Amino acid sequence: MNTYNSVMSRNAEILRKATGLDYRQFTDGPLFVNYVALMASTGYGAAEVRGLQRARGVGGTPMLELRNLTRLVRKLAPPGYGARILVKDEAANPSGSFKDRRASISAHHALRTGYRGIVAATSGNYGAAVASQAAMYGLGAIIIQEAYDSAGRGQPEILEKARKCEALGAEVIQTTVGPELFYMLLKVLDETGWFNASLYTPFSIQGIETLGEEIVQNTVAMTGRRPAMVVCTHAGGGMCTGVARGLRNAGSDNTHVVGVSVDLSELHMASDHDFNRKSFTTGHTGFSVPFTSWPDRADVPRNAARSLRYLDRFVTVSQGSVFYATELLAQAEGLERGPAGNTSLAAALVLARELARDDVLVVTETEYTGAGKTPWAQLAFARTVGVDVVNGLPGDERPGQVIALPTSLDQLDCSEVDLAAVRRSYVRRGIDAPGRALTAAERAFLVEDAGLRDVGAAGLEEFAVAGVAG
Amino acid sequence: MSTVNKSSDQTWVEVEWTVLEPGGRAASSPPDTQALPYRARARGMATDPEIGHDAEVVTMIGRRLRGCVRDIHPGYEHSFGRPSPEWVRMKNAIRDLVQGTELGE
Repeated sequence: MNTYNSVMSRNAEILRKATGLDYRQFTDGPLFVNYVALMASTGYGAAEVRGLQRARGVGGTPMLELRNLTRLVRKLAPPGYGARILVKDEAANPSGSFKDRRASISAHHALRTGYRGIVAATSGNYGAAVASQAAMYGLGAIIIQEAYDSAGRGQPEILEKARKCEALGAEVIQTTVGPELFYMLLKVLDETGWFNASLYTPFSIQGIETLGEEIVQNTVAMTGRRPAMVVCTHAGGGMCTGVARGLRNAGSDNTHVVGVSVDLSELHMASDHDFNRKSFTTGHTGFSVPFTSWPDRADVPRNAARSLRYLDRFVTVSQGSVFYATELLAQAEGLERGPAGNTSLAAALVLARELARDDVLVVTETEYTGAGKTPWAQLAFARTVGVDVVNGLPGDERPGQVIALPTSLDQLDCSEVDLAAVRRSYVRRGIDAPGRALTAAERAFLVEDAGLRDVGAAGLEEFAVAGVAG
Repeated sequence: MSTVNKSSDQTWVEVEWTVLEPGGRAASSPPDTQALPYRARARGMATDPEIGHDAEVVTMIGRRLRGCVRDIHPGYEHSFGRPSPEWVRMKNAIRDLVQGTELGE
């Protein structure tokens, strides 16, 4: 009989079998990760990844110019400002989101290395991607979803994703709220001996790099320029990490990478009470704040999504702003797309005003929509759990209590997250982690991992205490 | 994995079971969550299922799971929802913005 502690104590052994990766070869102590070696450990080159994805209909999605949104944004921008806005229509992937890119290399690798199926713990579009790729490769798929509160109520968007996973032939296990989702994952991996298609393996992150590469290629082909800014929705940081790596692979080192999360700052993600009081199940601060300030909290020993290395800027938007952007995209551009993927679009409608008219801003994704995912399905559900829905400014929104729907484009706003403070929080924890003075290798790692090349190894301690009162 | 009997007396059901009792949950859970059992649901085929009784189900991938039957022929009840007045107000404001601007080429 598996009890919580007995399964958790075998965590490392179970994950080693279920990923085929021995993370000990990339680590030295609790802090250091040889990130270059970790990312290279997949054994697949960039061209091979592209080939594998194209052979299964993944990637090569249309890049669409949002001419009408650009025109509307320019009316609000100072003369000479208002970038061209492009969006990568990732809803055109086989299961309807960019997540197919993340699942594709895992599925291929699992089959090639003799696993009979793949498992993922996710309430998001990733479940459908794993189920779809598993079907294509003739593998089994098990998706474990945190889905219900103790009253048995489930967010309509999560229920839709369960439907889609089952439609694609997966077994879906839906749990109540709690961090024991990881325990369930370990238990299922242990019982089946299947592959852990975690969102945070190097296979998953490498699969996203093609999106960054295509963004550069498509933008240059359409506009003759490289993107000045790429705006990515940020949950656990996989998309920002993979896209930024892809931009660099394609020679766009100077493109500004902006992470965007929905602001759910007042809600506790593991609380049964708070669980259904959010209208976004991903791309929100409940993931992005903990994952940026300490990435190694994922369902693999070390996280391959390390977005502080790549983020130039990090902003948050309100739930109401994303609903506004979703409706505007439908009416002004004729594109009815899912809600969470429009998190970055909501920020783009504000950030494009800061860029010159000649500049190009790329929104990294769209996602499929439908029953359970539409704004009004979300808002109707929010009302049933006691969240008030009003018309108002983004600043009127109170996560878990009030959703404020804007009524004009100039009301949209985004809030800057103090990235220096996030980097500082990570550095402080990193300095403390080994319980002794850091080695030279650990110091160099921390500089790279926190995105602190300007500070350098010699300046770490000074940076860690900067801004602390007294 | 054992071979599934796909005979016609098999019924698609949803079962639910307790994974962890309140005392045995993760220490990192907040208090409101720790006070509750950790429960799970899954769907599969069962023989002669009865609501409220235990049953073994065979899932889509052929795995066998046990739980209490909570639904027979479970469906998907989530919907597009009814638009709220606030959403309609937002929608109409966007319609006015789009119609009041020279768009297209």
